[in-house]
Amino acid sequence: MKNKIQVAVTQRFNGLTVFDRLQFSVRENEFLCVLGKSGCGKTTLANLMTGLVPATQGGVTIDGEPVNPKRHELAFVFQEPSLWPWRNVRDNVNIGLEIKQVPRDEAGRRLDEMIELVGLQGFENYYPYQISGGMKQRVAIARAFAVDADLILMDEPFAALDAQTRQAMQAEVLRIWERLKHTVVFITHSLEEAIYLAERIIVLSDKPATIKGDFVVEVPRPRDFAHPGFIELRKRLGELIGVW
Amino acid sequence: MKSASEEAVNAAREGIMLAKPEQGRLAASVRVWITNAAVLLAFVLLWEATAQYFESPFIPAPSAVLRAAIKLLIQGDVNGHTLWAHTGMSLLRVLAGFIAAAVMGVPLGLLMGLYPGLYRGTRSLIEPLRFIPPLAWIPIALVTLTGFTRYVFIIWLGAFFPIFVATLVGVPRVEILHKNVALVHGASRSWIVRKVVIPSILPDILGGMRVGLGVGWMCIVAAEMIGGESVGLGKLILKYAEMLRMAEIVVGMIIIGLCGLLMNEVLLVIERRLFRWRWEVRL
Repeated sequence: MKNKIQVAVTQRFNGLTVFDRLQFSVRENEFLCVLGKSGCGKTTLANLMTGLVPATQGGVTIDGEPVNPKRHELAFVFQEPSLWPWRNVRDNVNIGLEIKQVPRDEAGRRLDEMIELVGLQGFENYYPYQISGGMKQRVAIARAFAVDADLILMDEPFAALDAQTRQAMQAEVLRIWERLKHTVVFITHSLEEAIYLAERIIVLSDKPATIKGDFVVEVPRPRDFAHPGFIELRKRLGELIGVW
Repeated sequence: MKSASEEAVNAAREGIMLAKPEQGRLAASVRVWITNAAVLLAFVLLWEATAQYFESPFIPAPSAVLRAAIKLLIQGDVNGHTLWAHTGMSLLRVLAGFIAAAVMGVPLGLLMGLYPGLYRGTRSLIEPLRFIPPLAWIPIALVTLTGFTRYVFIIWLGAFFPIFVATLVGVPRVEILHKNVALVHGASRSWIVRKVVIPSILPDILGGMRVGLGVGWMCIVAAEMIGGESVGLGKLILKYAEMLRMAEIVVGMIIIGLCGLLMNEVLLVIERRLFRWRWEVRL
């Protein structure tokens, strides 16, 4: 598979170097997990990759072109609930399609498909305050997958959920990704989450962050936490990172 | 005869019924109505007692005020204007001033909120203006304006700033995350203003409008003091003040209070309808 996304950035904020010539690439339709300690610049990386923040030096390219939300189809699943409280579930999923001016009937078809895919049929007219935290993240995921995205960025999307919901959501995201195949960059600080989800894991070092390790995850799916390959990789990652 | 267990089941069922939220809410609203009625009644009784104790023409009893109100309704005042005419005229003036304030305050607040440089650059002019009481503008209004515009100007002065400031301070408080969602999908600035900023600050704007409306009503006496016409609730109060007839003055005061209350309730109903999502969050 060809390289879809190229990252080569140096990022400084008021003299604080967050990334020093950080370089990696993401292949088309790859599920890449970025693993890093809290405070190592994971969210900054997400903001750079979606064009929310300009790079100090270098930059991010998609299909050889500098990342640009107006030209590329990007989507972001944030850690915090990011639904618009004045819009119901269906209109929240529609945000990306509306901005990209997808024709009404085409958008309607995709909305129906996405709402069914995340299991929110019957909740289309509910407002965010009426649904649970897990359901809100489902809506956010549906919103991200609704556009034909070049890149979907997920920044610790399940960090605020309880353990059971988190596991269910991980399985869910995999199921949707396997069905729709988009390029996903999933940022997390959880080893297990990364190993469970990713095709490939890159590990960020402390600031200024560089790539400390790059692992292809070969554990067969559906992945089992007790699989020897899982345990082995977990051990190697743990040693690489040190105490979390 | 019912068995004991049957009764227990019925009692439990009733307990469940009572616990249903709609019934609980209904009971609570009935309680609120009763409490308010009791407070009003207590106030009127206290007022009556005070009036009876002093027996002064300057402290009219509730009954005297009621008689004055009926007389004003049917026969009208010394100039022959009925209470309806006074109320209608004041309502019209307040509405005109209020609408002018909203039509100017919301876009201006939005503009200055979106371009903070515009506000920072004009701060030294805008901020002092905010603290000048509408009453202080009366001489200038007298010499520069005539007729209906005088009333509108004074009420506009009172209502404008609450609406303008509520809009202005709402803009920077829009959730960054909500803006980022739109930005990531490539939304333009104008799209974000229309679809994110305005829905986010609408509740603030409506809150500002309710405050502005209150201040507008507070300015009605000042406005009608200089209006020149003999009709209007403020004018009614001023006319009877010259004659030292307290009962009619109190009628004017009460009607102003009631008009304000009613308009506020209308805005509240709109607010609740439009921003269900926000009200429910707070409950």
